[in-house]
Amino acid sequence: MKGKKSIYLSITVVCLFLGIIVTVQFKTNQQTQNDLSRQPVEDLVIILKSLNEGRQRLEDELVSLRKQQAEYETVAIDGTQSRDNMEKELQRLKIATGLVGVKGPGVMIEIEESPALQNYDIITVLNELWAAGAEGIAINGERLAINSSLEFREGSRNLWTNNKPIASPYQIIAIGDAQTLETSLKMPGGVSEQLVTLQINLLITIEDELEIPAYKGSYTFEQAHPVEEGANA
Amino acid sequence: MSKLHHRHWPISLTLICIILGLIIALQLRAQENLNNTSLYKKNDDIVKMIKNLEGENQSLQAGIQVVRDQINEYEEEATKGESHLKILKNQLDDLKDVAGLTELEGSGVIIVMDDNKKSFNQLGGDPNWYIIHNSDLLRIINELWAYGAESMAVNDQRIVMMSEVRCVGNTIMINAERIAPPFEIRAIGDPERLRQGIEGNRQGILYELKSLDFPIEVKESQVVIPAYKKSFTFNNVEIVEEPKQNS
Repeated sequence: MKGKKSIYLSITVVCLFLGIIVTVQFKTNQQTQNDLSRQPVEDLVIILKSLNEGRQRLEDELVSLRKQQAEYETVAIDGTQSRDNMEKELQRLKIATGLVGVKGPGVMIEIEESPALQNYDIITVLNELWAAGAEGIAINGERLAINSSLEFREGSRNLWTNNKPIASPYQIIAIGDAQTLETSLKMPGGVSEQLVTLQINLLITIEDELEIPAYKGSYTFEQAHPVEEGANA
Repeated sequence: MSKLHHRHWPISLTLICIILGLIIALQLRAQENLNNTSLYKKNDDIVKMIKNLEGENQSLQAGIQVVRDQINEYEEEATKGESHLKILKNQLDDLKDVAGLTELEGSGVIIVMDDNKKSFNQLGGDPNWYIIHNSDLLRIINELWAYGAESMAVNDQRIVMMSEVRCVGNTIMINAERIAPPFEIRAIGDPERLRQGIEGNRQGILYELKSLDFPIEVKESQVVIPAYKKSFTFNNVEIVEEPKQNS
């Protein structure tokens, strides 16, 4: 009887260990997947670069906001100065919402007609352009706003954006640092190469000056309203 | 009977111990492999830099928030008693909401998408088949706009015009910030239209992910969308003056 008991004990202990080891093993595997230090060094470099660019933009923003702030502070708040400041800010926000036509350097991308083309192939191109610092984009003369979508609709062979059909061939104009935009599209393994494997060819040209129109749709808030300050506290 | 059982114990125990030994050996080896690769040592430096930069960016964002609030106060002050400025200020406030500079709330939907760990554990294979990719996020964002979303955020990153959803190896970045699964997409808009739209779309990404057994949750809800904390600096564009129309 005594021997039997000790065997049970041994088995329990062994199973316990087994459980712990399996758990640890599993955990290590999971950590390996999520842990930054286990990612390939090339990926880490890209993350670092992107964070660096992000910091540059944040610094620029802070400088320009501080200038605005200083103007309010030094100039005795008189009507004209305030008006100027607010108008400048208004213009900036109109660019950020696509509500004004803009011009500047950039790239023009023509997408050759292809039966394989899906709406998300174009979305991938647009996403790459925004990631490369595009400041405004239009497709076939339709300015892309915050709430612009791109979709194929039932019964229509066209792509739709801003509730309007646009026809192939598609032409994208992106304004921003032209060289950066081009490089990021043509990166080895990048969007351009990926699409070529699907037999979708991008024709990219750099231009000194391109122009894109204002967004003609609207931003209507029926459900959304600003959170009242202090309401959360 | 009981004698026979007693004879079997040592054998079982030996077997278990052998298996145990094997597992421990494997575990140790895997661990050693991971730790000894000089690549990972090099990585540690870069990871440190990444963490530092993320910290710096956080404090820059906080700084920007402070100045934005301050400017807003000046604007309010300047507008007092100046009715002609009041109109301008109202316009400015509306645009701030639209552009993404303020926190918004309203009814809408919350979608949670997570990696398909269950199927990975059961079926194995390429882990890439079982994770949510940046293209999946881009597609759900696109669909939500198409069904009339008014404002959107993914894991606390407000989606603005220039927002990108990047994929770097295993890492997804939005607004140049790392985000990790599970992904929570919040959208303000007509809750029923949004939910029925994304769930009913047979070409849609939810339909695709659900058919592959990904854990997806969709619920109508009151949602809060955080403000965009990054920059709106434009260095390459110039406004094209539209011909003045007197209407």
